[in-house]
Amino acid sequence: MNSSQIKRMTIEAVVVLILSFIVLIAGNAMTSGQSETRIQNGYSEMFADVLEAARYKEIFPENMSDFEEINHVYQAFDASGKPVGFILDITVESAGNTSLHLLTGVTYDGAELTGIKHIADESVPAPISEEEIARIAEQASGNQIPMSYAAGHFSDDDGDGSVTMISGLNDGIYYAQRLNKDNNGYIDYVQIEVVDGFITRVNWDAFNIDMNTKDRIDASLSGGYSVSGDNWANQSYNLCHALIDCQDPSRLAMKSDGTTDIVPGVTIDIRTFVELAYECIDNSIHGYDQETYIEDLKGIIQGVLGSDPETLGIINDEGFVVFSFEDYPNLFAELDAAGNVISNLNVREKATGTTDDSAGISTIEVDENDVSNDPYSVTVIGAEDGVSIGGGYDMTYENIDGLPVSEIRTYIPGIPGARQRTRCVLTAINISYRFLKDYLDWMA
Amino acid sequence: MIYGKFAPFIHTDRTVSYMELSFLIALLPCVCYAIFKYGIRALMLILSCVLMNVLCAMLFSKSKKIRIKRTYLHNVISGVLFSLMLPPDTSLLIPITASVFMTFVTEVLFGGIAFCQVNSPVLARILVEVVWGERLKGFSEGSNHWFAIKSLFSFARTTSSVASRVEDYHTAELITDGYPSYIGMCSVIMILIGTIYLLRSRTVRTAAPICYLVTVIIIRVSMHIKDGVRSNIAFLLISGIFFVAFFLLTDRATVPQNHLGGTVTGIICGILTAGAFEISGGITALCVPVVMVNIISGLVEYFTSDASERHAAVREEAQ
Repeated sequence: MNSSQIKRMTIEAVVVLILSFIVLIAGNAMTSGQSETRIQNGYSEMFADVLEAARYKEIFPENMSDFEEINHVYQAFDASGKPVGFILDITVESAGNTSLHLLTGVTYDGAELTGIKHIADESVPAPISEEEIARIAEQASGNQIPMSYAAGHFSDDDGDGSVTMISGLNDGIYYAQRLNKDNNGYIDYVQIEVVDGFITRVNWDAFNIDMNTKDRIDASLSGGYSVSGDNWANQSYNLCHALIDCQDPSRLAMKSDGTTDIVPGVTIDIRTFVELAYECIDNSIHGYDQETYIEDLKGIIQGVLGSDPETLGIINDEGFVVFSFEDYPNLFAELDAAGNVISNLNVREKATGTTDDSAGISTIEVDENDVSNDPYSVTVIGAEDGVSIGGGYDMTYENIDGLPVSEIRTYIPGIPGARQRTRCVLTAINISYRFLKDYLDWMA
Repeated sequence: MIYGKFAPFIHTDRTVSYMELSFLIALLPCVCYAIFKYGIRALMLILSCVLMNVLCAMLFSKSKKIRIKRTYLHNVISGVLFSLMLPPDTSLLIPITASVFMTFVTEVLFGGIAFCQVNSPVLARILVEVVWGERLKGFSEGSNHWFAIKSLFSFARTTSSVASRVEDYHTAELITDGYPSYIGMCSVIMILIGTIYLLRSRTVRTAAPICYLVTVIIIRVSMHIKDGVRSNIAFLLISGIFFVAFFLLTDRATVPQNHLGGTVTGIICGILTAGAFEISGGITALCVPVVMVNIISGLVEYFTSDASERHAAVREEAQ
């Protein structure tokens, strides 16, 4: 080829290049709207069961390379463009040449699992059935990650094969909240769930009188609320788990200054928690469930203010009544004939007009064989002078999926008799946690 | 009198360098599309394929002490063609391995570029699909991760991103923007720009590609007529048959260049491709038929060129 031919071909190459880019850019501009709509429709269809959002976007964090199980990461946004969570596409290899391809959804700042979905495209058989995954998803969704398989056994320091439970608890979800806000404007509340007479779930949090302020757990995780020692969310969790372990608030060994020495990591004043837990237990004994409690509280407020709480706009997103009674100091007071305050009533007592003595709570010992079919794990260690924490997880492991046991936030019962299959799903969930912890610098 | 000709079956007054350079320019639109859609990883895949191909060929020439002056344009084209047939999330290890394989096939097995009867990039693509099929599934929507290069350095088994179904794509999108697939095979408009350049440069014969396309379309439509027009159009746009037709079946070294030979080759390849798509689909359905017709191209050329030349002689006598 001579120089003129080379020159001509160079010009032709440049022309072809320019033409190609013009066509590409024009084509992209013409179809970008359709593409975005189509992509979002596809994402919504795929992810709605895992984490509902207005828009999804695939992201490529640098630390993905450290997690070879993670195939793709998507960020979810609400209608205002605010991030609401992440969806992780994970493939977990498991024993017996099986693998599990899952989508997990996790909230942005609460480390809460929003859902799990199985993508049945594995090249090798999946180790767990769709029904079993759905069952685990039901147990795990709405709870904080990381998670572990609950032990499903009962133990007793005395070794006599018995466990402790509070006498007379009715099954259901029970609730109690403080009637006055604290110095930061927070109103504490405790929820307990009772199954087969055992306390199986406890939640201690607080909402703020200013409904634009985050709940205390969320605020503590995002750095908006700080206490000495570990963050408030972790301490709350440890305390709730301790109550599940011991079943009786009195065994939390609260000292006169409101602290406890026997729950690791808990340095805060637990007085409010213990009082509200007692009130929940009292409500359970009287079959006074959360729904009735909140309805009665609304009725009390309507009686005081002359208007229902919905109209007043003091019901938050969770349906709790955001109202502090400090302007009505005698509203819940029990007076004697001379008009002197002799005690303070709780919501149940005020609403029903009965004043039973909750100090009458008693515990009983039951044979562990009688409760061995219980689907939830309740480990009670029956030392009279306090509580030993632990045992809710599988004691054969010092760490779970590379996480220290102390970091585990939720224990789920899993699939009875299918520990390995449950673990496979939990591993995917815990990989999500490890990745997000690293990516979002949680706990920093 | 019967006389035979062997590869490279070239019947043109244009030089080899001119034809190779024209072919390379014709591939530029597909290269642009790959980089535009998939970003830096596509660019790095293409560059690595090209560099490795040239490097392997140079090393081979040096080791054999070959003194023939060569431009290595053929190796550049092989590298580009091979890379355009890869998914965007392919590890760099694959082009490196494939380049060594291509050099081995071309230079050692067949004795050099001029003697290679099989399209080496296509053969290499089949090889990597067979050996590392599980690691070549990284299709993605592209567009929102132009700078992502992680996949280049990961040899882990990959899964597809959540991609929309073909039915959800607007036809205009399929024509201009393509469907998540191999980086340079599925933008029909880019392939057509390259084809127009090739035809304008008069360096290729059109019998094989046209017969190939017509055969595939007729068989496909007749077998899938109940699927509707939209489905069949989508197949034509995203299956990659235009890429095969205009960039693999126009190779002068591996496809007969006379009209009859090209026609026969195109029809056979079209039948095999349409049949393969009924069985498996994907890259093997595109590449295996090409290799098969490459293997028999010498035979086809032998028989068909004799007949065509006889007809030409008759025409000349009549004039």
